[in-house]
Amino acid sequence: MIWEVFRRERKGQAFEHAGSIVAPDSEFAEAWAREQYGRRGESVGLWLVPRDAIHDVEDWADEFDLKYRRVDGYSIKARLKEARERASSRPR
Amino acid sequence: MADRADTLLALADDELVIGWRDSEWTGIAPMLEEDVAFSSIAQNEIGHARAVYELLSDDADALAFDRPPGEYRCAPLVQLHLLDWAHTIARRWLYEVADEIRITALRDELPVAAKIDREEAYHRMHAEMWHERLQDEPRFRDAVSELWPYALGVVLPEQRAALSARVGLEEVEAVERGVFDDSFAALHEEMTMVRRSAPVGAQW
Amino acid sequence: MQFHGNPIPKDEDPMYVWRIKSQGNEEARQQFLEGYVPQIWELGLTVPDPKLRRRDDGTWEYTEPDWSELKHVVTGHGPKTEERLAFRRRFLEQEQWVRDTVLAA
Repeated sequence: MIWEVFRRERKGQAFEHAGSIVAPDSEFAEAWAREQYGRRGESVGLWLVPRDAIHDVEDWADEFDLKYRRVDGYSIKARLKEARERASSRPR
Repeated sequence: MADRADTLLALADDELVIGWRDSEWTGIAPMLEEDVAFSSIAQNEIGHARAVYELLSDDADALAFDRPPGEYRCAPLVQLHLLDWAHTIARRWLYEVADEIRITALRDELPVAAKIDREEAYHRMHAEMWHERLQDEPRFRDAVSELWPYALGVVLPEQRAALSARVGLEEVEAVERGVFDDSFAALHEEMTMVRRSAPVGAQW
Repeated sequence: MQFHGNPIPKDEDPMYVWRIKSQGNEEARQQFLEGYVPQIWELGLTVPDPKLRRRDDGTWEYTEPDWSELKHVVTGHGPKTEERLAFRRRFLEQEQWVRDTVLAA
């Protein structure tokens, strides 16, 4: 059975995928994951997840330009430049 | 009541030698994950040995490596050169059960024993896991039976009834410390080779 | 000097592509030289390579190692290869029962 190992380096940090191991059950998975991902004190926590338990999401509809949903979707750089030029050419 | 210094030296020598023997399986354990785990546990044991040698001497390296083979206090169990997994893992399990009994006895008076005990909790978990998986397997059961007299030699006589109860085997005549397996001379030679190759007083 | 491998571009090196190595072979070798050679010279020791020097651009020049020798060894023709592999095969076969028993889940 394949187990995906997620580890967290410090308390408060997110768990990150670290690798996978082959083990027959959670006991073996834990014993082995401890020695592979925590033996140098590099992890404060591990999540061991059977690969089957992972619900994979891989495809997306990407039909429309959804730039307008993002902060960087509106560029005012060009308009700001024009406005500055207009302002500097006006008599004071 | 055994002399405290001798008890500690025996503990340190056991941890050093089992660490050495177990590290012989690096690269040839039955599966990759176990190879890493087994090697890691072997390193931990050597770390424990050092911690205890440091209680007994200002020069842990000298104490660990400079004695002639006959002066080591390690139990015959850890000296055995085991060339198959059934015996190797049977020994690991028997050793951890025995070690727990003697470490627990030292834990309250010796801070380093308490520290060792806390790390050994994971060794025990690992050993129990294998024991549970293999306890009905004839190769494993036979190996445990063969190693049983040696296992008894790890603990003090007054601790053997407890060991017997935990392992589930009748107490028999123990192979006591002070006996050296035929392979021990070669083990000692190899283990001290690097140390002996440097001139006395040389520093890394 | 052969240790870091022959100087193939890292994008052509599966070891780099699969993130087993974190840099190209030549990069690693240069880093190794940069780290150790100045210290060795500072201690008054010599390195037995008459061509070894640091170029103006900071990279190290050295006598090209025998890459065909390295290839010969790493493709299973080294002096101890057969012994080493036989040792591993022996244990692999001997412990098949362990995998069969434990991994059957």
